[in-house]
Amino acid sequence: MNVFAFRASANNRSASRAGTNGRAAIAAVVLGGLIVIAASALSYLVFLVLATLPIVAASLLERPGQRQATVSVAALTMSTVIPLILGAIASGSERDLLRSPTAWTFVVTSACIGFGIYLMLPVLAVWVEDMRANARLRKLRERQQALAADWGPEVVKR
Amino acid sequence: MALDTLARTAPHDGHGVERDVVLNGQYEIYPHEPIAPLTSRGVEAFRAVDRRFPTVSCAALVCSGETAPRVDAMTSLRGLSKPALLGVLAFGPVNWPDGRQRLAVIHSAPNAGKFALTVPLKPAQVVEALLRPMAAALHDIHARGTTHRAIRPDNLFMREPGATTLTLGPCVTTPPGFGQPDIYEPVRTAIADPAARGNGTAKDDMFALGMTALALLLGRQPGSEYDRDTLMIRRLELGSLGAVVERSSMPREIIDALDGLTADDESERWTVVSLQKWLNGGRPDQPRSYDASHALVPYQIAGKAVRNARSLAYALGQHWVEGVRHLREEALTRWLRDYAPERTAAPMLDHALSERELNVEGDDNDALMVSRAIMVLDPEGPIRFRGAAVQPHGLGPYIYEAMKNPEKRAAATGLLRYGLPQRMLDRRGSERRASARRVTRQAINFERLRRWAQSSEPWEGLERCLYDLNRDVPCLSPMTGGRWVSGVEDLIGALDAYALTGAATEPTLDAHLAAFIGARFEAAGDTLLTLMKPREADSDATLGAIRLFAELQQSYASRPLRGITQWCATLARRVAEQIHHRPSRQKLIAAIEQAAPLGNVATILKIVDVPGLRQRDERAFSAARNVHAQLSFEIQAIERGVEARRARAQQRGRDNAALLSAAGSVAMSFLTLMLDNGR
Repeated sequence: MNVFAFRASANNRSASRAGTNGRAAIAAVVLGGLIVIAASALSYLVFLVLATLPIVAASLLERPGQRQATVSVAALTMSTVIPLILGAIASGSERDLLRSPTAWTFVVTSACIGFGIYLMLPVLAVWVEDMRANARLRKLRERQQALAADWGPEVVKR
Repeated sequence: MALDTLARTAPHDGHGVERDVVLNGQYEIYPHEPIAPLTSRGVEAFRAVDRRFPTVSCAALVCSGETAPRVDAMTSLRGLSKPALLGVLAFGPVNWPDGRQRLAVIHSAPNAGKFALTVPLKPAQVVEALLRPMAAALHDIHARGTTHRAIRPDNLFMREPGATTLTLGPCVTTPPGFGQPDIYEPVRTAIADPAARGNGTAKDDMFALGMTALALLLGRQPGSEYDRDTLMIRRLELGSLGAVVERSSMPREIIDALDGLTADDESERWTVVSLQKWLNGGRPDQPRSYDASHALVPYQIAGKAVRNARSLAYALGQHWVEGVRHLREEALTRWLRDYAPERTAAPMLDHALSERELNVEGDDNDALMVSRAIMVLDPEGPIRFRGAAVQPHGLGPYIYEAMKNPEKRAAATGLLRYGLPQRMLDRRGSERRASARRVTRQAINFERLRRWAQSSEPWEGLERCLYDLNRDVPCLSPMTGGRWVSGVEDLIGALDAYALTGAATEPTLDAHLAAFIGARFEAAGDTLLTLMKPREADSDATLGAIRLFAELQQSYASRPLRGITQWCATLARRVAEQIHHRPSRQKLIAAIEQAAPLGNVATILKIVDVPGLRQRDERAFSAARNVHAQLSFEIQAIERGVEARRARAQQRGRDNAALLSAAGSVAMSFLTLMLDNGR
């Protein structure tokens, strides 16, 4: 029996198990959080669910195997939703987040910023890359012209 | 007739302007005052005056260039002053009124004119007027390492009116033996063409003197009653003296001298010392009587009856086309075997005829067969090929004549390309006795001639042989503009003058000039090709040509050579244009342009002959080409990879969007808390 193969498969199994445990822990934390939110006020939970709709939309629009749009929208959306809910819970009095234009403004704005970042950054990256490529081409052609000036057209290999 | 009584013609040219010719700034030559008695084929004689001694009359013999002059003999005889010799006072090229340069030789003039062979002289007169003074003159001539080779009655003069002794005429303006009627030449050289008799030996002069003495005794030219073929056949069969005179009819007091001087066997012929001994009353060794054995039954060829192998060889050479037919028939070998006195001739001829020639051109096979046959029948005679008869040591003047006469060119080329001179010498017993070192050197020289004659290189061929064999003849190229170009300085001057005419912007020398330069300076073939076809030459050969001119200028001409320098500048520009690096090229060309008017070839050479320049340029050019190719490759890669690069950038942008959003979420949380609490 190959001891090393056994060890490798054992390592894979332990890693897989750790991942599963991690996700289970996150799920437990999320579930715990949801229970806490629901226990505070059911409207908060509804607010949370409604606020995740842009995230769901981003994940649906995204190409398979990609998570950047979801992550972008989720990070920014949750960065407004969670402080709002935690702030409401912390204040002690029940706050009507579902009908709060301010809260929804925060949520929609952050979701839009998330979408914006996701859509604009690739365009910006392509533009920067094109600029760099053109600059490089210009430099290479200038060097070729300098060579031709010094050595004549015979310098071009046929 | 005294020369100073010759009628003077007007010393003017066609335009009425006096144009005297001056040699070495000392001798004035009057081209309009010819001296007929001294004029002969290829040589014109004119009155000349020594500016230092105007009362002393001189004669200038001016070479037409038709035949090769004996410059080595001129050098040897210059300054030799003997009563029995028209001494050479000076020589050199002169500017002739026709615009060309000619070689002029100044002799002391025979004031009493030419000796005329009209009546027989008494033996005592022959001895005192001819033999005694000639013995003294020839002694001095031979002591100077040269020969006269023009001793005959019509080249005898009277120095002063009433003189009792004769004087030998000029001998240096034509090839040795050139003007000699056959009878005054030993058999060996008499058969040869006049220009191809070779320098010969002192004993050839003795033969001519003996036969001249006989002519004076007879009052006519010996053998004049026979045609040439008959006389030669008689000489070959009866001996030279026996062929022209009955020995018994000769005066007894002089017969010993005639026998000794005209002996056909050179080893037995008298020398000057023998003659002087005889003149002083001594008794030198007499030659053995001529072995006149000949066949009782003659062999008929071309209407002539021959009776031994040598006369058969002569007849074959004179009538070689008919000789081919005879050589193919049994009758000739049968006659040789059954009747000829030479017992070994028949088997040797059979062997010679069975030899196979390699690389024979056209219909030369027949001519070569005749040549081989003659070589075995008469090895001491000249080479016979296609009607030409040439002594191996007389090749130089013969080829010079062949150059002037295109009809002889094929024969001259043929006998060299088939190595006939060396093959003839290999047959000669006399040559086998020579020193091994000389024989080897001679063989090497003939082999070089053979290679040049059959070479297809434009700077070789017969022209190369001509200038190699004749160290003093002028270059025959029309590009010399009629100048007498026989040395380096002359050549440089002629080429510079030609270049200055602007007829050619670069050296495009003809075969004669290239061969002349090759022979005189041992220039490399590539260099010569450059000088002939500069556009076909590579940089190394072109530099070699410039270097050659630079060396010539530095060694022989201190003055600026503007014409040649312009040629070299053109060549140098071509070398510079081979440099790939344009800034360097421009710099070189600018330097060449600046140096060209100075007339200094070395400066031009220094500009372009930079050690390692072309190698460095080649390496750098190769590297530049590689760099250029790499750049092209990189440009193509960039242009081809646009889509992939953009896709990667988009992906990177999306990845960075997630990171940026995650990072921004922290700030957003704080912002939300602040704004929400501030509400």
